[in-house]
Amino acid sequence: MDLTAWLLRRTPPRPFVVATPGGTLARFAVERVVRERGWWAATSPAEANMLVVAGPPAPGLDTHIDRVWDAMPAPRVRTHVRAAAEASAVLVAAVAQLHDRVRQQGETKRRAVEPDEQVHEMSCGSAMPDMDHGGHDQHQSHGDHHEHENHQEHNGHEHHDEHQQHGGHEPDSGPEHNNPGHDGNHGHDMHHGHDMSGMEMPGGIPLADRAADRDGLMLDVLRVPLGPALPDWPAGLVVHTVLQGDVVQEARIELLGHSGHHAAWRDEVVDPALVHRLDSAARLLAIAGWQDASTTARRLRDEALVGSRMPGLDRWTRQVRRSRTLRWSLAGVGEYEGTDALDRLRHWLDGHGEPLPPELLPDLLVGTELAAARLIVAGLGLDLDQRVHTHG
Amino acid sequence: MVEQTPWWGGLLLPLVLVVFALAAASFDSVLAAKAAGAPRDFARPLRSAAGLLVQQRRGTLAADSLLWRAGGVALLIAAVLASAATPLGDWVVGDMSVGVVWFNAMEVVAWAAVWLVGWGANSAFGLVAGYRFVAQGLAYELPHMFALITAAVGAGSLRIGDIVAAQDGLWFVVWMPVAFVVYLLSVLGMAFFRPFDQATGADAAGGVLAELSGVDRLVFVAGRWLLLVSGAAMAVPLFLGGGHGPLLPGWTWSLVKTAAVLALLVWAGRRFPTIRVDRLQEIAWMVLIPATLLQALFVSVVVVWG
Amino acid sequence: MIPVWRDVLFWVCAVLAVVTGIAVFRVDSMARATFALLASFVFAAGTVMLLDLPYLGVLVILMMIMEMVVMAVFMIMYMMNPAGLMPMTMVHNPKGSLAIAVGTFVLLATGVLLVPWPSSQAPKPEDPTMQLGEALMGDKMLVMIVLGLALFATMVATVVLATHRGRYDRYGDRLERKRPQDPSRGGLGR
Repeated sequence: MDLTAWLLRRTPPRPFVVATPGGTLARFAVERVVRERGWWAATSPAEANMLVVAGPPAPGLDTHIDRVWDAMPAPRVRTHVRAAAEASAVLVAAVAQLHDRVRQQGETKRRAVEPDEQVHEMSCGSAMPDMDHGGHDQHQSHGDHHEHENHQEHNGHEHHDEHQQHGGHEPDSGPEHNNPGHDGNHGHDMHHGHDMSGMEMPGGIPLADRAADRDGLMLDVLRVPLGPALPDWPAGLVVHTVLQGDVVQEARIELLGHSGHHAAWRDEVVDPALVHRLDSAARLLAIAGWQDASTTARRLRDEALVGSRMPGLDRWTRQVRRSRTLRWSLAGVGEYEGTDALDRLRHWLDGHGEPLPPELLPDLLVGTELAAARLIVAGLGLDLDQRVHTHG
Repeated sequence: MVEQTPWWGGLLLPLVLVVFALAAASFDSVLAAKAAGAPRDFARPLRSAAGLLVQQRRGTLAADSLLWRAGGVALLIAAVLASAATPLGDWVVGDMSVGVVWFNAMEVVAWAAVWLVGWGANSAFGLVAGYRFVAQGLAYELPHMFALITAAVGAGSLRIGDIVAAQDGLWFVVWMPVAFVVYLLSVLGMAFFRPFDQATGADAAGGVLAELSGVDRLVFVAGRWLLLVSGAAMAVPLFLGGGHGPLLPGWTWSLVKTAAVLALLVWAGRRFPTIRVDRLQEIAWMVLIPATLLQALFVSVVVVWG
Repeated sequence: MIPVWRDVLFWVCAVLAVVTGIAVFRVDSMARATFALLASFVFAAGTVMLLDLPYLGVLVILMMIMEMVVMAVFMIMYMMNPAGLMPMTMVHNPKGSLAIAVGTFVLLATGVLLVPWPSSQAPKPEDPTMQLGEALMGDKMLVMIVLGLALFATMVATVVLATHRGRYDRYGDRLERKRPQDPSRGGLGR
């Protein structure tokens, strides 16, 4: 008996869900399937064996999603849920592919011949920290994104070769970390430091540059982009951060894939405000590490979506409101106009509280620690799809 | 009276620990399924392990592979060794005169192991999470040590067998409740288990776990579960009277009590959101350390004048 | 334990302690140097345990793990590239330090071999840990208490001298704030 095949068939799916702009309802449907089938969502590509893109194709996100895919170890399967209605069928098909021995053997072989790609990827949201510090930034100009439009057609395929096309890493003229806003169009930095000047760098990674931190010490500067391919993260949002230690020194936001016109999900739902509040609470609770309360919030959201009764709502509201440990985690996080993430969560529980605009983020993030950064983002209750609707 | 087992007891110990770890993980997944409204899956931990066995191991750019892998292996070995001094009824694998200190030393290996796993992968989130765990260690370790010392003072010995014997009449949990509670909290902390799981937090893409896959991940995650089991098992001889109990033989009582403590820890872990290290630090130093010191003072006074 | 096994264990521990000790200066990263040093300490603790001093042996392991991890944090913090990726040499002034190291080793080794160590006919104590405790805490109690206080005072003084934020920075010039203004807030909000 083939032991590998036997083990493979028993492998539980670990989906890594990436939502694209305009994909709110598709994401809800995917999360529902994941929840009801008892799958556990992955927090990093290394943990995942199933990459689920939820929402309409978004060319702007393709390179980021490809990076997550490249970072995933075999056995693995990639799938795309374009609309809410097809979620269940697509995911079931994906599981069949995941458990298919022959297919996964091919996956393993393909990975084996690309060792270079394999070691290059890391799992930090948009796959890796920008290791190109100092005066040697190599980032491509982002005008070539249209080349990737064929990516939306992938369903279980991988196109590593695209990465090679990104060549031409030209050393930037100046040290970018002094002026992070100088290139508003820079999406992600390539990290192959092949053209380092002479010095032998381990793995081709140049030395980090240094700057004074908040205590006046000279510390290394690390550029880490957060998003857009992160679980429980607003679709299409990228926060380019400059870290010292784990303190965010600079932050700049970028919205990918929000140029097109998407159908507004709020028109298709009975009580969109309630659904959004429950969804925001679920995401904030997930980031705050309260899995069960987050799962309950998602269940309530799915009930609210179809307008059915929500028997557990009061109990869940009481539990979240009373939690002292949650107060420890959220008090003072992302203070804006006198309210912090905890206050906003309580407003959502009370049934009011409008989503805040993402433009607030840089000011809120600077000076905070990485631990608080994702709580701050989740604590705003962003609804970027609503923006598309109103502005587009 | 606690007696040392023959040499094969050392071979049996990891098996017992693994069975407990699987049962705890199974209970955990059932609780998760209940919250999600999903079908129960008792075999989930085994299926997850199967998945990790067939998964590729990942490498990262310029990783320090030696230290990275060493961290996971060290955690696994230390988790088993920590239980060498824990008696099961009347049997113990290593009847050490300094059993309490031995347990403490083995469980501190987690400091090095978690930091190494975070460091070795050369990934920003892993590194941050590795440092988080060191900071968490600074928060829980002193209260943890004071809780251990309190039990040792109560029995007047560092030998686990003597501590069990001293609880013939009255379990230590009755007159050392603060030390017991702090001990349980620090067990959750040392196994970086929920709610003290910021080292593997969702806010940092899984923290030290962010880059681990395949066998490496299996070793590390198994080590974490075994460490939790070791901590829960040690609570029984330290505070819950070890194998003492009516009717049933000692080893049964040890198993029952360990299972109860373990179930309590797993259940409690799901009841609370992650406690962030920066917030925990102040609570540990301002509340837990004074509380355990007062508890130790109380026990010392009782022992000297009682 | 059978004496032969004792000898074997001693030599294994002793040789590995020296080998990992040398490795501290041969590896090219701060992290590896730190953990090579830790391994050396753990093997040295093994030899202490062979002397029937389990408390001291286990304590060396316990303290050294904690100390080495904290030391790793500081060493890497003060490095030129904290990511630690650049291979770097672990020695300065190699010739001088090698001479000092070899000289010290030779001096100590000759001392070990030449000193006529006293041998005692007294029976071994039943519980060396208890004896150690009584030796430290019996008639030396006052010394230990004074030492403890001095150490504690040193730690507090160092922290007070090192911090550049006092309570007026935290609570305001008239101590009027209810919550302190800190770069990073604690759980109790104090």
